[in-house]
Amino acid sequence: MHIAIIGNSAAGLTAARTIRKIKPSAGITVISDESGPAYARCLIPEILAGVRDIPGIGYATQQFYQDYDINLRSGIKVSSINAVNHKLKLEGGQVIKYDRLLVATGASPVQPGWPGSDLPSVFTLRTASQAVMIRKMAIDCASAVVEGGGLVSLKAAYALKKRGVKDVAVIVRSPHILMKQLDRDSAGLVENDLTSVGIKFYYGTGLAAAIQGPRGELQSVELEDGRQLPAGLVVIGKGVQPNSELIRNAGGKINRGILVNEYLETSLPGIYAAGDCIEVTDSVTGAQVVSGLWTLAVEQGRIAGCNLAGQARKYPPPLTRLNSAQFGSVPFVSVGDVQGGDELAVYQGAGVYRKLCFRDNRLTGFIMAGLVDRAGVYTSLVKQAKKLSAPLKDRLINGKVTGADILPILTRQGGIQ
Amino acid sequence: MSDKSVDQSTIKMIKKAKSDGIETVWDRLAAQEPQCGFGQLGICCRNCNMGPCRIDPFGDGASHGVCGANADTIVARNLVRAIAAGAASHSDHGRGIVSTLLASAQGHAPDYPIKDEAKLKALAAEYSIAVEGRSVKDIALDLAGQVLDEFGTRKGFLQFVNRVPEKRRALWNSLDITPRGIDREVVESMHRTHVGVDNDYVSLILQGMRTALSDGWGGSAIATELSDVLFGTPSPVKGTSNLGVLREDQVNIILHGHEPTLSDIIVHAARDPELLKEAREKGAAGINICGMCCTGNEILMRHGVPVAGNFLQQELAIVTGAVDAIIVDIQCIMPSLPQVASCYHTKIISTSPKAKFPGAEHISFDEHNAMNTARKIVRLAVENYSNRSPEKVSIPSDQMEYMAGFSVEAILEALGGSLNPLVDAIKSGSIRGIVGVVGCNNPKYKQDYSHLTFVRELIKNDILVVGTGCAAIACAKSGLLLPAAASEAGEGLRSVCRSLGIPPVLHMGSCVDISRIMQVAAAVANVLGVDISDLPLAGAAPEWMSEKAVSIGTYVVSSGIFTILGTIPPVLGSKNVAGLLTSGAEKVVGAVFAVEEDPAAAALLAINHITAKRKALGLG
Amino acid sequence: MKEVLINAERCLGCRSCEIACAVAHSDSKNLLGAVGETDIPIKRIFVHQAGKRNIALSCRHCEEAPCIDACIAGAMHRTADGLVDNTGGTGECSGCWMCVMVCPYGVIRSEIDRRLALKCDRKCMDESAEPACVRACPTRALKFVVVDEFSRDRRQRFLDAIGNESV
Repeated sequence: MHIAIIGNSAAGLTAARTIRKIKPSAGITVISDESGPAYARCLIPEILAGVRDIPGIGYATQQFYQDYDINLRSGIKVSSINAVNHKLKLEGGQVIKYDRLLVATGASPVQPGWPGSDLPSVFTLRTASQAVMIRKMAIDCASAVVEGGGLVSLKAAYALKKRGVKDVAVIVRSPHILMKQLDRDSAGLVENDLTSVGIKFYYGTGLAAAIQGPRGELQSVELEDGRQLPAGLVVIGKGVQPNSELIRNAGGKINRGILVNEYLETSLPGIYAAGDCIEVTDSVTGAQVVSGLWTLAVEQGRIAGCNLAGQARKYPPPLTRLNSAQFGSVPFVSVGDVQGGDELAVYQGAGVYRKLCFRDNRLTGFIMAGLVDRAGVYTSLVKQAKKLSAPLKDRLINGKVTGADILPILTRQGGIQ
Repeated sequence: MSDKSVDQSTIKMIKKAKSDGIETVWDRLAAQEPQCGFGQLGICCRNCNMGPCRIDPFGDGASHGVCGANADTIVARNLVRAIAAGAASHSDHGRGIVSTLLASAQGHAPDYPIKDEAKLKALAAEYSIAVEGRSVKDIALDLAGQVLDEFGTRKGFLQFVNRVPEKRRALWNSLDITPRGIDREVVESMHRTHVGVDNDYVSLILQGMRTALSDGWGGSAIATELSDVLFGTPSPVKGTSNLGVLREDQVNIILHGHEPTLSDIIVHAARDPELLKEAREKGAAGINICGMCCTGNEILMRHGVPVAGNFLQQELAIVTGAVDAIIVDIQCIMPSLPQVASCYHTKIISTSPKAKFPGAEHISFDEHNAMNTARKIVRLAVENYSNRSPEKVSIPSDQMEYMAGFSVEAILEALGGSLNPLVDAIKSGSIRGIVGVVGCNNPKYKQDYSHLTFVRELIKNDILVVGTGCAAIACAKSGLLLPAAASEAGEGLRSVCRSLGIPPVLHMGSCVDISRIMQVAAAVANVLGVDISDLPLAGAAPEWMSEKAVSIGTYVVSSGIFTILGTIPPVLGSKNVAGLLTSGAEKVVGAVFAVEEDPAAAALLAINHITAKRKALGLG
Repeated sequence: MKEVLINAERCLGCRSCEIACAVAHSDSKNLLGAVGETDIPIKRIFVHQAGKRNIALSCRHCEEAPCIDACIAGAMHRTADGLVDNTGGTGECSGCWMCVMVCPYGVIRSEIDRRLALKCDRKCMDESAEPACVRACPTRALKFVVVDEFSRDRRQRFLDAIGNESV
């Protein structure tokens, strides 16, 4: 049995590890267009900031692939899948035969289309090698502009500041940052955290064009509202889109992402998909979404790994909104549906913010900023979607809830010792 | 086993207890371990029913109790309550003695004649009671009345405060810690530590000091002085010590606890020919009265009665299988005794209306009918002799002779009637200083190890040791109370001991008799015209465990004597309180506490302190 | 593998386990030293009240640990001994709080200033091979035992009983 995996990040690597544990004899080949062993993609802003190098964000060591007897083919792109003959064709023409295949190709940044966005100083931030390039350029750069108010953009902006770039501006089309994760008040706390280190925000606009200097180099950018900002480099963070072409070209079904059944199998028999390239159903809203979350990619990689190795395992609709981060001194967590709900409970204290969203007496989402301890208890309740007793709801609202309050429902879950 | 005691008899009896299936204090300690960290740090409070509360020592949880008390307040309140309990214990013991004196003077206690008329008269003079041409009974009646008044006096201060050097009295007045009445200070301490009263740790500690002083210069002093009047002032006497004093062929009676009132009578009752005859009829060669703990100290000081051991040996005495009765009164008597006794033939007889023990036989002691009660108790023991199971009897052979009985009067007599030879010896440096070594045993520390290590270091360095309580019994068992022990002393102390024929460690009595040590300190300070805090003195409680010890330590420090605690008091939960006790107090009362678990290091602290004090006095 | 088994019926809420845990993670390893340390030792066990009962909770070292899945740094991992730990793994904790966000027991701490998630790491064992919290428990409400399936069932029934009171 030979199992091929396209992709060497969260989903691909976890699947490989899972398969090896279940099937010691299986042949496993992992193919990735990125070079080197797997790294922690979410930490690439730390490379940009200059606090870690690529080995410093390693997610697996070279030794791991040997220990797990995984044939890693890194730095090579797969050009096509032949689903009928169970063959992969690599760029350069080599053909790999597989018995089962996992597509864990991830996602790619949405590319901007304004004039000058193709200049070498205009970056997206998705890979470690991009981060290394930006870091090099940032050394001699007095000003940088970041487009987008999402996590990647803000992490990039904070990293650039940390790297020593004097002026860092963030252009946000929406009324506040982190629209998907936070509300106005909690976003305000996080914004203060960023402005306190000198980052400037421009709201309600976007980038319109790059303005070049005499030698063709990027000098500044023009905003849609006509304002101009000096910029030695630009980082674009306008979201990602699933890498689903291989499946589409092989005849598989795709929508916004690759479509999979509850076993994470694509419409092509024997071909599974997991991670940022697939589309899933959100457990809270029921909506079809591409989530792009590391933690879900790991989870899906493990489930796909089980199925690939012949242990049938279903993947229930996941909670697709699970974010936590800290830039400066304000940690924050956002889980589930933080916009909807029929009842809200908001707590605001000194530097602490907590918002709970209920629907039909169930916790459907929450935001915590400033203080995040025991957030997992809330997350668990969002996942459980259980009707809340009045005392438990009280404890949730006043922030007193602990793991002890929900022990009974926890142990009914799988996977708890 | 050797981590439990340095005393071979203890080690042997622990072994026997184990094979007999007896649970002892060390087993119970193990069952309690690990002990509560909040308790160890003194940061739990049960003073009101909004609680119980505790402060997180790592600042990770609650920093205040429900009422708002912080760690400083809680630690200080707990400490003051411990002092109050200790002061109450010594003082109530004292009250018992005065009551007996009163009953004697009223003619209601025929078995308690006044034994030391000279002391009675001297005390009467202190109280300005007319002596000339009056009968002993009348003087005693007046004295007992006046001393009883000390418990609730309204004159503003206790009589014995007048014994304190002028400078110290002025200091106490300026700090407003002169004790005003024995009961009053305990009551006020309980009041101040009630929820929502005194919340300032400094103010609380000062009240703790005043309460302790009402013990050291009040309740304890009264217990000592009036016991001397009733039972005789001790003078040098010899005897034997340790579990080896028990006799396989005799009726063994152990008198255990703290008061001399009943025990002194029992010593006499056991010499009653009729009871001796009954004993012989049972096959016993005689009646062997032994002491234990401070009751033991009271009767050994006055009668040279054998002392069977100190605090940690009370259960082990029963384990010998050879004890026919243990007569207990008050304080430091383990509630486990009846349980241990139930595995042997030993009768536990409680005698104080204040202290009853489930499983023990209670024969209420009545001073009006003391001898009859004593005879009844001795007879019970005699009758119980035939219940002994010879196969369970194993008396360790360990015993050691001692010389005790060093009351202030006895010391003066040894010195030829004046303190001057002592003062001269201190001046010349043949005695570099004096350290009072007192206090308990504590199963958390190897029995007697700290006492003995500490004492040996000191005498080696020409420091005269005066001891009381279980510390003194530890010294007795190891031969340090013999004049021959002078060979372990430094050259200066050795020559003083040899010329006076005294041991380098002077046994001054029971724990209330620490008041004797205070009298010596005050008297020496008065001879030199300085404050007590100027003298090359120190106190130490190397193995302390009881609340009484907390009170003692506090009145010793408040009297100006540097005091080393060998076990850690529950105050470390408040840096402020710990800081006040171990350094801040120097500026307030001229003395501090030190805490040092290693007895050798503790000895060094005492030696350095004495060196510094000598230097300040211009002595080499 | 041995687990820390919690018997809520015996827990008096004395917090001895919390203190012992903090002390075991201090430099001096003893209470009286630990209270004086500048870097305050941090406990990884929490005594909570649930309904009328007390429960001491620390990391359960879950078989399928959500915190391992969630860790974006590759720091949270399963050790060779089967424990879940965020030190000594491939990556280094970056303080992103993903693990805090997904731990249903709420027993991973966020040390915000140090940007470090802290949890039960069992680096508290002594020669008795029992964790500090277990050794400290005066009522044996905490036990360190191999839990078989039968006991799991019993525990579940017990937890269900609490559940009816509190949830």
